[in-house]
Amino acid sequence: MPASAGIGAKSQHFEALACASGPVKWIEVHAENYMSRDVKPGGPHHSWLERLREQYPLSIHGVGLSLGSPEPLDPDHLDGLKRLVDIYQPALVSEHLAWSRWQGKFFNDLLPIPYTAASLENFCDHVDQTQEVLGRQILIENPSAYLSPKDTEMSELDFLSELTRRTGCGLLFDVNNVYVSAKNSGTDAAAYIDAVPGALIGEVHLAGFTRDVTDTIEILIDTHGALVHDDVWQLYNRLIERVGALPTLIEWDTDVPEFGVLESEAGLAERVLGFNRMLGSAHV
Amino acid sequence: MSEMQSWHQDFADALVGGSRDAPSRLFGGTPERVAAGWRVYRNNVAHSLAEVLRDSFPTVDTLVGSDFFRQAAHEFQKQAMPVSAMVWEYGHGFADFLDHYSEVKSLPWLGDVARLEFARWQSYHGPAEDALTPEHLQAIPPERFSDARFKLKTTLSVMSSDYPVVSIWMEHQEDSPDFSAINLDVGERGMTYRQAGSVYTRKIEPSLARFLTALQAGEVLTCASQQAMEVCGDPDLGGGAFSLVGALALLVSSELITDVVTDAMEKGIGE
Repeated sequence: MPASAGIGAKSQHFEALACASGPVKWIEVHAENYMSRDVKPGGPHHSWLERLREQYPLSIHGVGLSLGSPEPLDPDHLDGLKRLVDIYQPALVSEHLAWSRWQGKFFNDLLPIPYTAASLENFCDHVDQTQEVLGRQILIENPSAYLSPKDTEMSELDFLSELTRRTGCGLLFDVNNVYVSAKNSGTDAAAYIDAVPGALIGEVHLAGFTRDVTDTIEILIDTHGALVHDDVWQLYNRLIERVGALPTLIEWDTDVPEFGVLESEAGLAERVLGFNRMLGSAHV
Repeated sequence: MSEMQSWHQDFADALVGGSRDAPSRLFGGTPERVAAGWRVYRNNVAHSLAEVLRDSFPTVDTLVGSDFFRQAAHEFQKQAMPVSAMVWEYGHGFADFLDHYSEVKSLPWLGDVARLEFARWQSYHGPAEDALTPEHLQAIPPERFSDARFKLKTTLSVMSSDYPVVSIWMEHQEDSPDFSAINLDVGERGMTYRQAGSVYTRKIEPSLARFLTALQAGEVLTCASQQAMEVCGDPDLGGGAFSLVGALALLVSSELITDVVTDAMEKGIGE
């Protein structure tokens, strides 16, 4: 995957992407939107993906494997993901440090887990199994947190570092999630950015959040429905300056704007990346 | 159940019930802070599932209005959570739910509109299937036709409604829908299929609906044709006319036949 800017490919932008020659250098799709129980998945969105795949390097981003659930992974889901990865041969495959499924019910959200020795072991087993089935490395994304589980025994970064050490997976580092979680939990986002080992990061995510204030309590919500916030751009700059250029994705999933807005956000990321590429390998 | 499993169980129970109170034993922080954080997760789940349904049922959404749709989606969610992360399958039971949802009693055809929309949705997401070409079909000896079984694409669906459901749906696709010409007392049959990347729905004669349903059930051509003729002869079943040649021409031009198998053949001609 090139260390340049990409965007999440939404169906309303397929045509624009097919004709684009601007700052968008790669695309990412959510695995579940393309997964099917059929051996030969079909339909217009697959036709588009086949076409765009010829034009752009591809990242497949899973949002529903529920690696954090303390129960066996859904075998149908794993099969569907493998079929998709086999068909499209993406440059990157990623999933989340979260859970979304329990006892046959799927919640369609990325829910938090306590960071404990037991949950780490469970998570490592599931990442091992996924990498074995797919026959490749996956990246795991740090989540946005709105609550802090009581039983947590270690920091998120310690959990992720140990996870990568034990399983050989990489990190999908979401700078917006770091910012949102830090604001919501009263911790220091910059310290997290400065501590994450750059060598572990295979991809960076940037997105916009919304602010919700009720009864004097302010919560930032990772809606993927707004421009990347200035503070998040600053953290991104800080990260890239330290670790060097990385494949960087602009995510926008709700109230999706016209293609030009995403191109312009990708252009901003590309400017940061271009500058750092120019500085060469001195920072790596 | 391990401590970790019971933690997930408590979290899941509170989400399924849409509990306004956070399961506070699970989280650290002041009660106000925990309540605010819990609200985000609870709303995320409810909102995202309602949006999944809205994507699958855009016409139902328009018919009942956005707020009402959200309320119906939340009621549906209490009865049925998705069973897998392929959430595009989630709307499977929504039409049945609407049939029995007391708030929409005055719209008795709403469930069938949802059924039609979900058929379109499934057709869109269905598998890639190759259709037989006219040349393939011409290669079948004429004497074999009568006992031939036609395999049709799985992305084809046929529906039968006591209401003019296709007309209602079609009128809603117009910029300025006009329902004055639609007689709500007349039932309709419809077929939905995918061709060259687009999903089509059209109103069809009851006899053609019966013919297609019989082929889908694996009946041989003669038998399916006979069933269609029975419908023509009985006004209670819909009456109307049926042309076998016309029906086959429609199947060929819509690229809906994936194989033709006769008892004399071990394999279909498409294999």
